[in-house]
Amino acid sequence: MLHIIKSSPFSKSTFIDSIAYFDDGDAVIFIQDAVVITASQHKYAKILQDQMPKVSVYTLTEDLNARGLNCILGQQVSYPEFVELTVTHLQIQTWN
Amino acid sequence: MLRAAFVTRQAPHGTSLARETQDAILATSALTEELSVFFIGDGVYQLASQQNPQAIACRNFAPTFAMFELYDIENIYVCADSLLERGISDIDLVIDVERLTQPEINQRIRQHAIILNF
Repeated sequence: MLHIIKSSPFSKSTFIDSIAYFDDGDAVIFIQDAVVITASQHKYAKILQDQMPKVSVYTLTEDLNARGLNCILGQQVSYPEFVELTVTHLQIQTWN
Repeated sequence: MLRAAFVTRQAPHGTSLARETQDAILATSALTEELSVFFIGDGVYQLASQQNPQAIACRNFAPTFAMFELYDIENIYVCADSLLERGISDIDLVIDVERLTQPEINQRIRQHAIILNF
């Protein structure tokens, strides 16, 4: 399953809520305001790191660049690669 | 694999999202019977039976959950852990729903081809 996370964990609990639904082999992509999760060291980055043996982590480059941020966790992907992830994963859950 | 899972995570009345999710579920039920509904997180508050939102100019949409049965929506689940975490495990719910633990909910969601999370 591919989880799509869209909001900043500093203003909404969506990211924390989603973690209990991560299974082995799942992928997680951070887009929109959620790119702050992988952009620096903070408590939510630590929480994500604890999940990283279990899930593959991706962050959308365009959203990072738009905010002047750099990815320090997982892998950066472009829009076309994001689309590819949505095609290669049979199930997708977008956490609004 | 079942067709569609609706995962509803919003408390009622603060925003219209919970009510609009209910509308979407009812509308989708016209297209498929292979549909499940999962109330998790703050979404469990939608099921409380003693709501009186008219006082804050909101529609009381909880009684409309009773329509699910008429629309042949039978797979309805609530997260027992979310109820427990909020201290409302013993309140009356508007409809009969199956109580599952969080891991059981997760497992059940994964039996669906399409997952719509609100």
